Amino acid sequence: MSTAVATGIFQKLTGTTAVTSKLATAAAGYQYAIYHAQAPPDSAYPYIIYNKQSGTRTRGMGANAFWREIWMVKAVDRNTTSNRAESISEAVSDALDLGTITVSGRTLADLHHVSDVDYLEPSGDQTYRHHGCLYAVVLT
Amino acid sequence: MPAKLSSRLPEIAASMRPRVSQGVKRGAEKIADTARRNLESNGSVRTGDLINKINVVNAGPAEWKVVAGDSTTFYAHMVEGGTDIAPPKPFLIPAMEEEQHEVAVEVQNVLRLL
Repeated sequence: MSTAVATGIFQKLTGTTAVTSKLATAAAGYQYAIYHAQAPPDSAYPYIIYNKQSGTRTRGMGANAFWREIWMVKAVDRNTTSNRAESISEAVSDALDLGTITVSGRTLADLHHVSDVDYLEPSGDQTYRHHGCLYAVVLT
Repeated sequence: MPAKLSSRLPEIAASMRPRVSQGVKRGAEKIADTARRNLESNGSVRTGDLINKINVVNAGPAEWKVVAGDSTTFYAHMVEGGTDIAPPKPFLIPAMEEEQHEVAVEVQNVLRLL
C-alpha cells in the first residue's frame, strides 16, 4: 500500500496551492520541494518531508479487513524562527486532516491527524526546525 | 435462621486500579521490547546508548509511559522523525501501533482474575 499512499499524499500536497506557494524552489530534478523520506543534498528551505512511520493490518472474516498506515508530513526550515515551518504544517493539515486522497487499488476510509511532530535540530551554528503532524490513513 | 449476604464489591473495587496498572505496565513493556527490536532491525544501533535507554516509567495511577532516551541521550526524536541529512527511522510509533491491541489484552487478562 505504501507506494499508492505516498502517491496519493504527494498528489494532494502538490495540488494544494496553499502548500506549494510556501515552499522553496525545488531541487534539481524535482518539480516541488516535497520529498519522500529525505531531501536531496543542497535543497533549499523550507521543504516538506513525508514518510510512512508504521503500517498495520486488521483481519476480519479470514481476510484483511482494513489497513492503517501512519504517515509523517513535516516542514523543515533552517531559520531563526519556526514561523514558516509552522505555517506550512498548518496548510498541510488543512489539506489532509479529515480530507481525501486517492489511493490506487484501495478505498480511503479515513484520513485524520494523530499527533503533532515538533522539534528543533541544532547543528553547528544552525537550527533546523521540523514542524508537522502524523496522519492515520485507513484503507479498505 | 437468618442468612447473611456480603458483597465483594468493595474488595473488587479496591483491587481494580492496581490490577489495571499491572496490565497497562505489561502492555507498555511489550511496546518497549518491540521498540528495541525495531531499532535493531532498522539499523539504528551504533553505540547502544539509545536502545539501553528505552524504559517503562510510571506516570500516575494506572498510567505508564515508554520513554526513549534521557537528557544525555537526547536524539530519539531525531531518529524517529529524521534530521536535515538523515531519513526517519521510526521505531517507537510502529511499536505502539503494533502492540496497542496487546495492551488491551493484558488489561483484560488481569481483570478476569478479579
